Formats: sequence, C-alpha cells, structure tokens
Amino acid sequence: VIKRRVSTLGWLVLLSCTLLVLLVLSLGTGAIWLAPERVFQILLDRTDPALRLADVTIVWDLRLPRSLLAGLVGAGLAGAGSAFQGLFRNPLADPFVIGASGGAALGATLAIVSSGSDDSIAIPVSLAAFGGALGAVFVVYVLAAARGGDATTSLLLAGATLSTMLSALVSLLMLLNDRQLQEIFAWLLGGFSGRSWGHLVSSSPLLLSGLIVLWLLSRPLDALATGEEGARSLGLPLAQARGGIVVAASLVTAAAVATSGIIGFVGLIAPHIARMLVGTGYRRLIPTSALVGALLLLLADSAARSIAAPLELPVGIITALVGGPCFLWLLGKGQR
Amino acid sequence: VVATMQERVGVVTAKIATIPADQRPNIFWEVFDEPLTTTGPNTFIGQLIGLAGATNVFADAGEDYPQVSSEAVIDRDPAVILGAMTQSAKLTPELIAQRPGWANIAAVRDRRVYLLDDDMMSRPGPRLADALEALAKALYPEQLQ
Repeated sequence: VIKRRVSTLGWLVLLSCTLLVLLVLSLGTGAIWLAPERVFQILLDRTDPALRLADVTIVWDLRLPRSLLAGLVGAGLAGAGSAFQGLFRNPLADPFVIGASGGAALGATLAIVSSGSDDSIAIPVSLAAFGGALGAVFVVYVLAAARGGDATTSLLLAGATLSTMLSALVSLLMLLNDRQLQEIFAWLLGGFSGRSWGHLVSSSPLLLSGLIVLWLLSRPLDALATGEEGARSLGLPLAQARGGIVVAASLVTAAAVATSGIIGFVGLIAPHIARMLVGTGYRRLIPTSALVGALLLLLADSAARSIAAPLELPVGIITALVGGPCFLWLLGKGQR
Repeated sequence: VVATMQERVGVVTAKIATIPADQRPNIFWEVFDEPLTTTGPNTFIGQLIGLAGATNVFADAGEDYPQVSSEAVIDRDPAVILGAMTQSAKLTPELIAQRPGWANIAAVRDRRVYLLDDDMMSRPGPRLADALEALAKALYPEQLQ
C-alpha cells in the first residue's frame, strides 16, 4: 500500500485536475489530431469562421459527448465495482458479478436480432440492454433469497450460474443469426463509437444519482466489508442495507452497460487502485474509485479511437489488454 | 454480351473523360453501417469508382473492406455518399443525416446521398455496365443526361 503521505482530499483534487487535463487532450485525439489550443478555440467559440467545420463537428458532436460519457461510465462501473467488492468481501467482484452483463448481453442481442426482421417493433438496443441487466439481477436476487442461508454466498452462486446460462443463450442466438453476427459482436465488446449527447442525457441522471446513493451507503458498506457478524453487532439493519447497495450498484451498472456495452476490467481494477491511494473506508473509496474509473476509461477510449485510425477499436479490448499488465505491476508494487 | 458491355462502358468512360477533374467528386462508399465499413481501391466497387472517375476518400486504405470511424468520414468530408440498398431500413439519406455530426458533411448538406440497386452493385458480372451507368448518373447528374 502506498503510504498515505497525501491526504484523501489531496488525491481527490489531484485526480480531478488530471481528469480535466485528460479531457481536453482526449478532445484533440482520434482519427485526426487537434492541438489543445485549437480545442480551446473550438470550445470557446464554435461559430468562429476561421475554424474548419469538420473540426468543430468532430469536437462538439462526436468527441465531447463521447469523452464525458466515457468518464461517467468509468466512474459508474468503478463505483459499482467497489460496492460489490465490499458487499461480497471479494477482491475479484466487479459490477457484473451478479449477472448484469449476461442479462444486458441477452437483451441487446435480442433487440439486434429482432431489428433484422422487417415485421417487428424495433426496441432500442440500449433499452433492451438496460432491461436485461436489471432483469438478470432481479432473478439472481430472488433465487438467492429462496435458497436462504448465507445471503452473500447465495448471491454469488446464483449470479455465476445465471451469467453462464445467459451467455450460452447469447452464443446460441449469434449462431442462429449470422447476418447480425458482426453487429452483436461489436456491441458485446463494448465501446463509445457513435454515442452522442442523447446518450449522455439519458444515462447521466441514473449514473450520477446511483453513485451518490452508494456514497451515502458507505457506512453500511464499511460494516459489511468487515463481515456480516461485525455488521450485525453494530446494530445495522443488514437486509435493508444489502438490498439498497445491490439496487443502487445494479442501476448504475445497467445504465453503464446500456450506453456502452460490456466494458470489462475498469470496475474490477479502479477500486483496487483507489484503495492503494486512500485506504479502505468507503466514504473515501467511492469518490476516489469513481475518479480513477473515469480516468481509466477516458484514457482507454482516447486510445481506442487513435491507435488504429481510421479504424476504431472496441474499448473493452484496450481496457483488458493494457489494464491487465498495469494492474499486475501495481499489485506487485503494492505488496513490496 | 461482352461486346455490348464494353461498348456501353466505353460510352460512359468517354463522357466522363470530358469532365474536368475539379468537377469529379470525392465519395464515401458505405458498405455497412454498424460497424461502419467502407471499401478500399482493389475491390469490385473500388474499381468501379475508379472507372467512374471519382475519388474514394478511403482510397488509401490497405484493406479491401476497412472499418472506419465516423470521425474519419467527417474529417474527409466526402461530396457524395453512396451505398447499396441492402440494409433498406438503416441506410437512408434521412437516417444518415441523423447520425451525430453527419449533417455537416458536404454530401449530406447538398443532399447527395445515393442508394444504388444492390443486385447491380455487389455482384461482378454482365450487369457491370448497368452499375457503371447508374453510378455515373449519380455522380454527374448534369453532365450525363
């Protein structure tokens, strides 16, 4: 663990400033590079006739909403991941641990497949993914409650089982609908390609309010993270607290998945990095995780749209390929 | 069949040859929308574009059917957008204009988004002459009556 020479507030300020700098840089990065001063010019006055229309369009209509969305989704996934890690007292838990990704994948796949046939009502893919994610989490919760016994273990088991079943269904659908194979596959890999202001407007309320609720639940999270016995002895209403955490984290996850598909790894590693910076208390951990997650995903999305330009890579590939080794290095450093 | 084909191709290319280079548009050919895919210079369509005297904005692509980003298309600002009518519901001038940022592309502003018959465009064969004529009419509406 990195020694806490820097206070939590210091880290929050530092991370926020880095995030702002990275945001401006990300607006210049992509299929074409724009220098930061050009980006500022475009942001300050988009009607300036000296500017190239294509540059203004790229910054305002494509990159700005997209970068904000990447940051927000990264924050949401990281916040939900840290909550699930505390709830399950499991460092491997991530936002998808109780089935949200499997449900979202099935919902999105069904929507894409049905949009291919002419006589059906088109359901927006994002809405189907959102419904699928929440539906799967609900089923897991009901199954776990019916099993009884140790509630967190039941949730984990039911989540893992349902995820496997749902991903088998998605594979089956992909096999049967090879015309939409590429579209489904692109969605499953996750990314912000083609996302715009509309996506930001529809997803930010849920992402932000969910994060705030998780932060308000930081005291029960602290208690649950030390074990159910400890939490009970503190006199907390355990079932309600657990329910509240699951609902808030799942809503955040569902909103994230609905906007950008399944982006792995950010929700797993951001909380660990945050813990190295500010320790384990959830009051500090939730906002720090959120900022770290925002930074990571913003970075990954900028890389995704510039590494192979004019091709865009799915951001999920970057988070796993680059995030994996970095994370292992950090873990090794933390142990020494 | 081959003789008539060659004759018709000859007529079109001869007419196109009289059109000055600055009136020949640069074009974006949309093969697929999600993920956004275009064509390189070496495919049947790529060669057809060359035969019609137009410039493919992604002629520098190494692959035959490269995926490209929206950003790259907006940056290269094609004067004409073309596609085949396979994805009937998804590829219409209206829907293309609704994509984020695409309304400012020259082709969309000037309403020069054309959908050509897929059977004609996507299958190399005797209908190549039809394809070239249709393409040339879309590219040079005034010169080729």
